[in-house]
Amino acid sequence: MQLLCAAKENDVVLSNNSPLGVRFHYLKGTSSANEKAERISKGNPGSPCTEKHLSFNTEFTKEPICTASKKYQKLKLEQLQTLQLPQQEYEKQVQEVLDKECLCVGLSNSAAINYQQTFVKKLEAVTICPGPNIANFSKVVSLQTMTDHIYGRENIMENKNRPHMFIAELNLYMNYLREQLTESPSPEQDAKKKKYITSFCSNLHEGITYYRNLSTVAVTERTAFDSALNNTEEELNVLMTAHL
Amino acid sequence: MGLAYTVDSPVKVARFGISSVISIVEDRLIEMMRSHYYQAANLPYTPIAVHEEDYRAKRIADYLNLVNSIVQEQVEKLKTAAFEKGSEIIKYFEMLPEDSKLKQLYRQMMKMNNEPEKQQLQSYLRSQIVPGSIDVNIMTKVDRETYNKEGALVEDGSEAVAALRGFVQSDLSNSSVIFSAGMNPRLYNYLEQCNELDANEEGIFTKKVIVKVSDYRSALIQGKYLAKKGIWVSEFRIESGLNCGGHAFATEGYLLGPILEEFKTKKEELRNSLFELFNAAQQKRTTAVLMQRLPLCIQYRVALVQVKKMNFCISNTAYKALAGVHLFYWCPKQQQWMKKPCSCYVQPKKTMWC
Repeated sequence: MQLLCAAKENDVVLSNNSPLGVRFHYLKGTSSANEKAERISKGNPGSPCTEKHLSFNTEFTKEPICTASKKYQKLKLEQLQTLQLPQQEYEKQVQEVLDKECLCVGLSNSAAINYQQTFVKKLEAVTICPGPNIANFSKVVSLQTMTDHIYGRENIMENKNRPHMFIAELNLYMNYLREQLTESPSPEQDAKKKKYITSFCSNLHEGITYYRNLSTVAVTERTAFDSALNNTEEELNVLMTAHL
Repeated sequence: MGLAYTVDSPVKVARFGISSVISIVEDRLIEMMRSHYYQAANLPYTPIAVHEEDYRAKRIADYLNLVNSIVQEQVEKLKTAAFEKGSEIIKYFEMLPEDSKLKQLYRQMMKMNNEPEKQQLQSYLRSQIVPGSIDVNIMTKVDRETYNKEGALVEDGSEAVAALRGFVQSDLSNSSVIFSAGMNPRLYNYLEQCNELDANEEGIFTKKVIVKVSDYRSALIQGKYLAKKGIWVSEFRIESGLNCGGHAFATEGYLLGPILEEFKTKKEELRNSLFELFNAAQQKRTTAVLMQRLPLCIQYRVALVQVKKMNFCISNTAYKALAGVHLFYWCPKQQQWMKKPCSCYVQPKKTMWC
């Protein structure tokens, strides 16, 4: 709870931690993250996998296993060692393996702790996956206060400069694009990736143009809204010239 | 939202007219909650063990029934509470938005001095109290196959299918199942045999299907697939590809504004084409009733945006067709976490602009 209250913009990351292989917004510094780090430092990475809801990987086993499990991570790390990859590539791939975190237990445990129940013996770590907007709020409030906030009878938001929701989303997409551009694809992926990035950028451009002509943005927000659009478009052009 | 964080939110908020969503993916968690709530209510708790046939669906159905009965009991209690400071009935009305008719009547009642008239208005207000819906979420990709003791594949036993069966077998009404994470043909095919998802003769669904989408194309594809099976999607719930919690399905650079615009311009087209397919599928089924037209709701969900801002954003015709619903994040009593946290998806009573 304290962690959530203290959460700032950089504390919620678009992680690679989900065994589903889908990007996952994730709060850093939870007991689950600590548990994962501890297992890694003890040379025993991965979770015991008691639930198996996300067991979909058949790279090494006939029966599907979860990529956050001890079993998978051990097998995958052993395989990586034998591949004689360049150091940098090796480290990157190892990191990708170790990122995966048990969500079945991590996302269930808060209820167990709250009601003094045991979900799975000896596993008590909690994972939290808020949206990035959590950074704008930092108070614990009653249900009534929250409805008051929602219906405008009160304001509990700390961040006075919270961007317009369209801008907030645009910023997230720009972060995502920057990240995609820093990752160097293998030669065979290169053409495909280039096509993807080109289309991604052109869709962003279209979005920006749409927002520029949007008449429903509040007058008080208009200046900030437009300048955010201009800055983003400028950066987008620079990125496109550099990469495409 | 994650598994535990809203697993019992209806118990905390439904009586105040607030709808909320339970994830029904982790049945061990559901079983743990059964144990907790049966004991809390001084009722006998009979565990449903993993060796029982279809245990996953049974655990889920029974838990949903339990939550439903707890909420109904709470609502009856709230309805008969006295209109006095600190009581739950006061809380119910205080939380309503100022512009709601009921809120205005409530304010009027509080100022009244004429006792018989006051009583009369009070009993009218009591009669208008409705609980929020108890909805469920199934992440369609969590659909591992399951095997019995002999190692044979269990028919219709995959996890998402079994979870869905738990929902349809429950006695929830005015409830929705929300599918997230995209298309799962096996799960969607199974829907065809669930008569519980059909509308009654008046075109009312007691159990509705909601599909979460990140763009129009996805809505059209999934909607058509389901319509061909005779399943009506009552709502497409739009979520930003990246501005969301948990699993994030980034679009190929399509931003929310243009996505909403596309929904706005093509909403009728979408409804009509889905309805045509739906009715054609219905004609092949003997049990089903033909409809003239069914409602389709399109909503975009935002985290904690104040109504006045939302109104502004969707007014001036740009997004009138779209609905905004506001999510509560931070009310610890309504969620799972005293010492260790998270956030929650609860929506207030008033679903606007449907």
